[in-house]
Amino acid sequence: MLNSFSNLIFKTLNPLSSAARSANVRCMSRYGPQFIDPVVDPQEQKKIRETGDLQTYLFRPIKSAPGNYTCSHYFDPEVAKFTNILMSGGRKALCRELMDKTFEQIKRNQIERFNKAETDEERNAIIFDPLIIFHKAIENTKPIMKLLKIKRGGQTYQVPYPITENEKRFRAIKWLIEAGNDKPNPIHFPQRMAIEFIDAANNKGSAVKRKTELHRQCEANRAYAHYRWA
Amino acid sequence: MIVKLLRAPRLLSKCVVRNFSAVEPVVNLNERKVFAKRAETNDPATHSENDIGKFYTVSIEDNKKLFSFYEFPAQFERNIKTFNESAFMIREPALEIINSLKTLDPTKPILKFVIYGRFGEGKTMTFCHICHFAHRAGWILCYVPTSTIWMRWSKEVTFSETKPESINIPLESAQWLRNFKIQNADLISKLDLRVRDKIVWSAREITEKDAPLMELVDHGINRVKYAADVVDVLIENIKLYSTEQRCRTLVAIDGFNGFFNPKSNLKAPDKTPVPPLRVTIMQSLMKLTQADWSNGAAVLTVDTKNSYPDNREFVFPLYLLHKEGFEHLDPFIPVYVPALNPKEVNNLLDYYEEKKWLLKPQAREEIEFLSTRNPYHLTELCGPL
Amino acid sequence: MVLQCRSYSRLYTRCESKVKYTPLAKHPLKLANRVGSGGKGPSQAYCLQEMFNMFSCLKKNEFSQSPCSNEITTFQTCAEKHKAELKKLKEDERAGILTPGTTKLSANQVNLLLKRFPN
Repeated sequence: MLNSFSNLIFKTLNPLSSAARSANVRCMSRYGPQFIDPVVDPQEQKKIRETGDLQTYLFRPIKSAPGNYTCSHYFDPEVAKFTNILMSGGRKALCRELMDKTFEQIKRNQIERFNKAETDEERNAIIFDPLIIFHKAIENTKPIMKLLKIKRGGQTYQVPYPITENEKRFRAIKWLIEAGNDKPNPIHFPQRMAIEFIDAANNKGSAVKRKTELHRQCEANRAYAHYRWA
Repeated sequence: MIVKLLRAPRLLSKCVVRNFSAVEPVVNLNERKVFAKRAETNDPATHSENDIGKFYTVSIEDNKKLFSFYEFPAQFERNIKTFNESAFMIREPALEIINSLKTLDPTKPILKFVIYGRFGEGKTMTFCHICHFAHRAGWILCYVPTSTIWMRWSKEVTFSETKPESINIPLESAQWLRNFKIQNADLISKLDLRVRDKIVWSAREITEKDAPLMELVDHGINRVKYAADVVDVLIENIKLYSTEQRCRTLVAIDGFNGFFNPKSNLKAPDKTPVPPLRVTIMQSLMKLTQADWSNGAAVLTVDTKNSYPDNREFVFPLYLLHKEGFEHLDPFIPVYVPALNPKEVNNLLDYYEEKKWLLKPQAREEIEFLSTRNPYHLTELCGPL
Repeated sequence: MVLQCRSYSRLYTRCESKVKYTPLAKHPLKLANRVGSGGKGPSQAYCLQEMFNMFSCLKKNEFSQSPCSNEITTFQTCAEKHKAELKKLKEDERAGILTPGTTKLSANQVNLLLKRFPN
């Protein structure tokens, strides 16, 4: 009965309900299935014009871009995602400043390391670009599966299960932020996060440790894997 | 403000390509070698109009001597540590003032320059440039980084014994004397300046006539109780020697409008409020900015951050100095420090690329636009890039 | 003494004669045109073999991912493929499409068939 009620609401809000569902549009989205996602990056726009894919964009209505997306050359959607997850209480400006200061701090740390390095090998191995380190850190903290709680016969089992790309990214970002917050207080957040990013990019640090512990637990519980379907 | 400028969601839905520079993203940093333009010599006295926009470096010893205590803006301080050098950009207002100082008439009363400008556009850096020139050219330097350190964070406040109704801040006065010693000790001993009159501090402490001036300074550092009075005597001596053309003095006070604030955070030992001009060291420094001596110059900056929060609307000297300050300083030469011109912006960005600070030089025009050519905001924007 | 016959409820009473119980009126003993949802559908345990391969590789290399990248990618592609299959199945059910020749049908698919061929 609840299903039919929500169906009714859905139909009144969006007349293309069944078409929308088959096109995999979000249930309560104000956009119908004919709307396409915007292209924000100027490099990508250039490519579209050159390769001739422009036809697919010309005659369709386009959704408006999210508020924190910009067409700046220096915009990165993963950084935007990180700031969103970092934000609390709606203080986005503060989170953006923190991210900027974190990246600055990463650069300073790496330059310091460069000046202290003794061998040429060490010097060549140091990456200065904070964005590359950021991407590497997130890549290294992404887990490959998650643990689901399944109840069987009165007992709850932790069952390993595959994980979607979005959830992986969310988990990685969350662990990085928590690892950054774990450090003692007198050090400011940008400095803590910079250390955490550099460690995670080198596959060390507490965020990566958490990921490997999850993997260990999944491996230990592999016998329960079929509980998902039995 | 910068966050607001970066948001433009409505326009994005139209797939409009912005007219910013279309430089391809640089993948291999080793391929692109950029070098900033630098001046031929590191001596500020030899720079000319052709050197405007170029960089020159201050040596490490000069840095330690002159600028080791609160002098530089915090952002520049961090950059010195990261880049392993302190590089100043040669700008027009600084060159103007330096040229006037070079052609100073020693018989006329002192020249007074007041540097003003908006936040982050280079007042303090111009100021430090001029101080470096004066030091290299053999001038005595009476250097006050900011008065806020004294007015807000003074630890000890005592009544003055020599001046009625005045307040001493002994620890800070002693610190100023210590800095003065580091900056000017060599010069003063070379010029062999001596104390004019005998001074009796107490039954057992006397500074004899014709004692070396540094002995007086040492006395002030060791006996913190008399530091403020030592400052007063020192300043009188310096003024006399300058007028006699035995030495040249530059009075350099950053944030001079802080002297004329109606209130400060200090409280006298009997809990009465202390306006800045009730403090002895401030009164002594005010004497230095009077026009009753010659063969010297006063370079002052007026800054909104040194004035009280309700007095920060404009940046102009008359507004910030109030009537009192203006009448005290009048006549003076106001010098405006503007935002960077395109050539200077280019060179600054080249410098950051050279130092591997700006790692993504794709859209330099974007950075220039967003920062409105303000060097502080430009450096902030280049931080995460 | 004869007990007073009072029906406290329709089903629970001491007087059997007063009971009006007709269970078969509302729920006749006849097969319905549909099947209950849930139960074992065509989505059996998937990608288990790939998962176990991955685990054994990880354990050998002490849980460092770089030597095991092949196994990890096969597992992930298998999971994604299966997810896509499930999604397609649901869409087909909604649209009413049935591919002939499938051996295992989900509850919804069986209901579609029964609706089309009611007898």
